[in-house]
Amino acid sequence: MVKYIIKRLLWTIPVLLVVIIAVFTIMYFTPGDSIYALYGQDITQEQYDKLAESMGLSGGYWERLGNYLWGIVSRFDFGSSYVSKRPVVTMIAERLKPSLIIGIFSVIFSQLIAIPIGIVAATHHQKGLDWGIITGCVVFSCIPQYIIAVFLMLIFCLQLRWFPAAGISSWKHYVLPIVAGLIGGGVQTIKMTRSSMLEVIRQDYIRTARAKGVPERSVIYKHTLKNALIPVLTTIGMQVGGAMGGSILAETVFTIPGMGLLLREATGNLDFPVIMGNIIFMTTCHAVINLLTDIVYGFVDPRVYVSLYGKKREKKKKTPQIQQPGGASA
Amino acid sequence: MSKEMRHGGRENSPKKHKQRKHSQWRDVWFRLRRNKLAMVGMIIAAILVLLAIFAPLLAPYDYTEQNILGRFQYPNWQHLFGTDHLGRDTLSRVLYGGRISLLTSVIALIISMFVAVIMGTVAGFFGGTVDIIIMRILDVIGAVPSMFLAITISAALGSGVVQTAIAIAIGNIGQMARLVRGSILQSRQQQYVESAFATGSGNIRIMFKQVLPNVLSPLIITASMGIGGNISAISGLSFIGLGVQPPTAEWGNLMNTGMDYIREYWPQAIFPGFAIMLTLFAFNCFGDGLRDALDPKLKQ
Amino acid sequence: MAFFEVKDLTIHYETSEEEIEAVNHVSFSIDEGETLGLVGETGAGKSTTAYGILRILPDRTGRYRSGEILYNGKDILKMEEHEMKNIRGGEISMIFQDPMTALNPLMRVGDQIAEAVLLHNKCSKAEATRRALEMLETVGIDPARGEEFPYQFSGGMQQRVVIAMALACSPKLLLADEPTTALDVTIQAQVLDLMNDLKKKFKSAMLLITHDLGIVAENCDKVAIMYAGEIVEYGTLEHIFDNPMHPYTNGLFNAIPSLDKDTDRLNPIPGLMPDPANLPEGCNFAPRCPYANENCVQQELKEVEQGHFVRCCRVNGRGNDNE
Repeated sequence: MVKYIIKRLLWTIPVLLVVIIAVFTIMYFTPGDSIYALYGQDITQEQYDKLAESMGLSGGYWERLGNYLWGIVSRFDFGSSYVSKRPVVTMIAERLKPSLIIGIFSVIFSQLIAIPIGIVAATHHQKGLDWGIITGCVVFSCIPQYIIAVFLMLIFCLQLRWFPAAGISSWKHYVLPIVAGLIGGGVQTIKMTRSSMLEVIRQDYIRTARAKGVPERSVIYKHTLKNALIPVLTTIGMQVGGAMGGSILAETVFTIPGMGLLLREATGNLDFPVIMGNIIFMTTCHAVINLLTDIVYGFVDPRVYVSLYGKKREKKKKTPQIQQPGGASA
Repeated sequence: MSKEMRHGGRENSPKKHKQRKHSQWRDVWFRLRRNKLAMVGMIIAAILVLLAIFAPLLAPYDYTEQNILGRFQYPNWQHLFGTDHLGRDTLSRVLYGGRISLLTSVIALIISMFVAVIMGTVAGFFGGTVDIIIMRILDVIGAVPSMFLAITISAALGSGVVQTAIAIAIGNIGQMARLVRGSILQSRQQQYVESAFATGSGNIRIMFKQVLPNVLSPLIITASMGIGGNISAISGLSFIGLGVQPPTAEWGNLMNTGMDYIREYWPQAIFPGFAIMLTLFAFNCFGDGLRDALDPKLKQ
Repeated sequence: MAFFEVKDLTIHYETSEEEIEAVNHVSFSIDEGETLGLVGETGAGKSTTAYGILRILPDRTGRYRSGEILYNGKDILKMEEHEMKNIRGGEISMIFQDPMTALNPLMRVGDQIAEAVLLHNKCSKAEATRRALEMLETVGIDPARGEEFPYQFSGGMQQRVVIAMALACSPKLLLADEPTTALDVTIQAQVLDLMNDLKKKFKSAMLLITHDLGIVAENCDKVAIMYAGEIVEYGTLEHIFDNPMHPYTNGLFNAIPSLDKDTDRLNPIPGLMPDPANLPEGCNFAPRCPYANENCVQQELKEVEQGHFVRCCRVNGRGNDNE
């Protein structure tokens, strides 16, 4: 299993490399000129050359790409911001905490809330409760995360004044961004849990369980749920990707100094080192989360475990042995 | 009578089969029509498209006409959605904004479908190294969270309808191309395709005559679901100041401008938001209904 | 005296579009230790009958329209849910058609059998597991494999697990729903032999659902031929095999390739079974019956000889003249 994880991690290296080169290339050939964007059009050619030199903007494509990659490999140096002149790694480290808190809590809470709701909907299939939940899902799935954020801010910050509208100075500041983040993913999980439960409940092995006298509660919670959660699990990884994108927008609404706002500022200034550092970091996170999802997947589903790790999972607790063969059937 | 009865059990006569094939689209339409939510979605979507097309005729005011004295008006009979910080009529601006949002979304959809169909078809049909290379390219694109991809490309390409459409489209290619490739691999295994190969029909011919029609229905489903997603992404991009930028009115940037004044005056930010939600509702419901109608097996 | 009796059982599936008449006025009885073969084509309502007996029809669509199912004189259809729990898997248990899908893919097979033991016996978990492993050995599987998951077994082995699970609580009646259809021919005989041995060992009666008359001939005491939700002929093995009367039964026999006779081609029954959502007026078999005429009307089962019932107007009281 360790071998598998290492293999997967190693595989992300070429992917990241290609992403870096691709983003670098896009940035290199971008028509916008960072120096003019930062210092205005009326600087002299001499000043321009000097600035270009100091910002690492002189030299051809290959030279600059080589320098950039070498900087990452040898010194873990992703360059410095054009604007603040500070190293990108430091800037990301500073901005990481709020984004991480919002991201992790919104994914965890959305699963904790959404999975039970999905189960309730499935067990009340085609009854009032199910209908209500589905209607709620239809309505909420039509509201993009940032519009939810705007509404939350309007209602709870500006009208009711329960929560502060901007900043991160207390836990209260985190409540609304987390709520805004969990709704989108939660709706997806509710739908997925519900349809997956309904799918599993029709399976033959559920009928087998009923036929051997398993009470309905156990049929739902023991036999159906575990099987139904497998596809739900696989969507969590995708949700994290979506949540990362959504965070930029939510951070904009609530003015939270996180990764999203950093990226937004950087795109406004054509601050390429920051943009690239941000993308590389997010892509790495995305890869790690997908890997984690797969590992969990393997532990839940023995069939996947074998295909991932190439060997069977051993049972840890000891099972009682029966007496000698032959003695039993007598 | 006994003769009739004897033949009553034979359902699979070739004539009947042909008829069934013909009415396939009628069946889809029939199933779609029974889905009330999908019909509501379809009607709203149609109205939204008409509003976008005829915005110049329908807008009560010129959407650029300023009136500093009458700015920040709350909704009233002269200005149903109120007026913005320059005194422009918000309803007119939302109508015009819808043109850009829908247009960008459709362009993005066309671009992503065009590229995805080519990549997926080539990968699915030729297999081998070509397939591996294309799938790896898609892997790399898929490795970057789609919003970040859109932001990067949008930052690089600059603002504008086509640029925004491209930025959004690239993120969608992966999923669609995989879908096309999957359907093609599936239909390649079917007997009639194998027999088409055996009778010596050329690759291209088989591709267009036999296989692509099978890819059509999953593609229609993704397309109908995709419009809503695109609008959401485009307006999100514009909302953070990338994508389509003022003075061009687009729902996302209308909201963005409105956010500057939301503490004192909410309608400017909220009405474009309502427009986005209504559009998503319409296209999502219609897309869901279409999926259920095209693929009734999937429906719970 | 029959300990198990189905009387006038009618089960329909109700969907938003149509009512599927899956089982119509079916009656039969099973004595202790006896095997009844329920024979018919796919879609004749055989499986629905079995699910109906255990009351495990799909909740939303399955509807009992009439009838009673008497187990030791008590009507299963009127039982409370807690009584049903003892019936299902305890008194009456079931073996399913497709072993590949009948086992929970996420549970170790030993645990799945132990679960059945635990539900119907007052014993500790360890004891239940021990008995589960014993059962595995009884059906010829190494008890050590109880820790494995279903996907690690072949189809035949999975069916043995299902059989072990069904017999774990020594049921009085075993419902075997095409237990060998999904298996390789070479495995079929093994599994059937195993089932027969165990049935004798546990003194269980069996309802053997199949479409294979060969299996019926070797395993059954009584036979019910089912067509479009109805039993069209019912009798002892000898009645059905030596003196088949219903045109459908005859059709089934004619469709079997014979080694004795030198025939060039088989004689399949022309046409398809009617759509159970849209049954024909009058006799259900008439559209495919070579003897059908204007006088064919819906028939009740008629006793043509002691214990031999036929549902056809041609044999109505006239005995056997259709050969």
